[in-house]
Amino acid sequence: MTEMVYREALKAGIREEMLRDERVFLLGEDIGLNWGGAFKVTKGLAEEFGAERVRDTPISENTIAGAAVGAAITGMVPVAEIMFGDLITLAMDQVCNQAAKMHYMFGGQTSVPLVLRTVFGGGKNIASHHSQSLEAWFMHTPGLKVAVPAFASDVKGLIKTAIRDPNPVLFAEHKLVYDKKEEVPDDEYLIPFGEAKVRREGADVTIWGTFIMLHKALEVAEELQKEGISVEVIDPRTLVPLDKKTLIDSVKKTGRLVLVTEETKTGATTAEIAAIVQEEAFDWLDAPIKRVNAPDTPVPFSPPLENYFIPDNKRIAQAVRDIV
Amino acid sequence: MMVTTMIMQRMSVAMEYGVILKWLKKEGDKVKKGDLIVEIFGEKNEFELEAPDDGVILKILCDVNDEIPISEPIAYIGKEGEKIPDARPLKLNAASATTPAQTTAAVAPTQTSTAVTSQTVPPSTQARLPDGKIKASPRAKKKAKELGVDLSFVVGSGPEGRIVEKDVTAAKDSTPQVTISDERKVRSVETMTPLRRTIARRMTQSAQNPHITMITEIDMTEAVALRKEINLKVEKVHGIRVSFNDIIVKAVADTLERFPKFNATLAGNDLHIFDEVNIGVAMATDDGLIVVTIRDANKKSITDIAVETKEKGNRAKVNKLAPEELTGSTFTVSNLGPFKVDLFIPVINPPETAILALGQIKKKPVVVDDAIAIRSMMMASCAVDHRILDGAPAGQFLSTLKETLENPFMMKM
Repeated sequence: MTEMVYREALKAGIREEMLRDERVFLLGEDIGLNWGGAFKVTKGLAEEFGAERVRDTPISENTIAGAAVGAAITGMVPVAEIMFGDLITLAMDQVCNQAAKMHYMFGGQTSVPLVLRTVFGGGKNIASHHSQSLEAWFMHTPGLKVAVPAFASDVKGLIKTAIRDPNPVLFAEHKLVYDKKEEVPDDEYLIPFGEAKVRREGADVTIWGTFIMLHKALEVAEELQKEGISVEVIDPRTLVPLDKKTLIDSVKKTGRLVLVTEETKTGATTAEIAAIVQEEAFDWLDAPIKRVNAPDTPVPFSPPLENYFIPDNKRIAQAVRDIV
Repeated sequence: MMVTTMIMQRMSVAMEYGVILKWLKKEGDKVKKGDLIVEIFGEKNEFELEAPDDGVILKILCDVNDEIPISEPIAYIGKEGEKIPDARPLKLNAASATTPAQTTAAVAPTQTSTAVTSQTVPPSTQARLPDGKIKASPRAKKKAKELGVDLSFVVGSGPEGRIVEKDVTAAKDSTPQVTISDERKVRSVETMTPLRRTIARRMTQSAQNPHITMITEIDMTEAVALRKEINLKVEKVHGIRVSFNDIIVKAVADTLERFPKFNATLAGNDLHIFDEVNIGVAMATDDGLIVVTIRDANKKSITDIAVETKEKGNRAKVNKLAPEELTGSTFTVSNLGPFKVDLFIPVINPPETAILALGQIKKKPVVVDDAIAIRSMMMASCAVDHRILDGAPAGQFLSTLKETLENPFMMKM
């Protein structure tokens, strides 16, 4: 095991796959020589693998996604980067109408082994075009797989699985987890999609969340332990496919569920999870399901407003206390 | 015209729910305002409820034997074909496993008993939704079903009083719910009468309060003499005989004038001391125990009390007492002397604060002025609600009563 930050673990996973399979190549804005991407995930890879396999592109998300889809259906394994998740709107047709549907539209004669990496989330004071959390859109689109790794040990195993998957994968990252450190196995390992991880075991309340909210939830769980409230924290790791069993088993144990994501509340992934749990575990609920999300507004630029906008530990803890 | 909702009405102060005894009208019947619609059993009596309006009975919401809390809807009256609200009354008996309908149902001899669950009093802090539904989590409801717990008897500890799983588990463990499920053959099943259910509920409620009981022995020799003397006249004039109980009721009423806290009730944190001294006289009927009220007993003579008690007792046996004759007592006297009981420990008749229990009068050798004498002795016990009264005042009350009964000619006649 080696302690490393999320960003390094992610890069290590990509690098292992590039070494293993020469069809794997990267494309995106400023990901190549001397720069290594806006969040430095690919730093050094262009130097190691050359500009052919780590390709800088024009500033055109539609082009990046379109080229990646074309490469994927003609035998390559592209790992494309959209610098900010917000800008994926410019590539929506390629992602949702082309990549997601081709396998079905062509009667299974082709598949699209594409990984589209991007980053969501606020906390950097870079306003509403660079801070959104839009994962629910992709969870809603049949034909896409969606990964949401929040921890260094998970991101490495998940990116490798994503690259090997014959289906298009929206691989979502978060700006504030890149620097989170964790022990990461040295030997090669894969983490299957659709397997949630219980990050902390507890008896009274289950918190299900994604990205930085999981890190906050773990802090809250520690805090609430002192009050005698035992919190279980579940990381889904992938939204599509979704591990319902781990979540529902947990709810059956605790009887209470708090859903925490940074998304704006209406139509968020949390809404879907709440619906699933009430459909499949209604009789085990001992309290209403609580959602902790951002308010339904664009992400504010003003730092004090953004701090207010993003759910904090206090709000998560309160949601738990409200139903215990 | 709007649909009129007929509700369970409060027919006496202590009434918390009514039991449906008989529907006098059926769905579709035309009724006029004031027509008798349904017979119910309140706290201790039967009543008929009247139609609140002219119209047609559109819907009857409850069945015979249902226990319906005050103000819950029981029927809708309106114009033919009119749309009725989708509401159902809360039924206290809804989840209990007691046999509905017949009072005595014949059971096939081979049949064995099914699980029967007895219940305690519904807590007053019950969390209810605005429509009267019990506020319980799905998990609590599921648990309640599994354990056979009636949620209307569970206190919720969750946010906003919601009943959560652990409340159900706790209720199962704590309440005296006796589940009888065995292989013994049952000959017949007797459903508790409404009066029996009232007694069960109120006694359970009372038993939860801390009782302390004082015991003394009272020399009734003088009272025996007094009774003999009174009866010489009374028997001729009224055709009845004054009982020891009548003399005791008078003595108790006089004593209570000096002990107002024994003639009171606890309402929240306030002790309400009553103006009148109304003595409840416990009587056995075929149906169960009832308490007949002798109002202003302190202002009545022993003969008045005797005549009134005899007359009410006769009517009690044929169920002809008016509700006000069965309610409003402020202190109860229970006498098991006629059953040859020497002494017993009573349970307070709520919401009163104390009760007096009497045994039989027996001739006994006792020491009087350092000599053995044959005296007519009676054991008496007084139980008080220890939340309100302590041992010392209870002792004082009992010794004052003893003093009065041992010198009965001193009583205000």
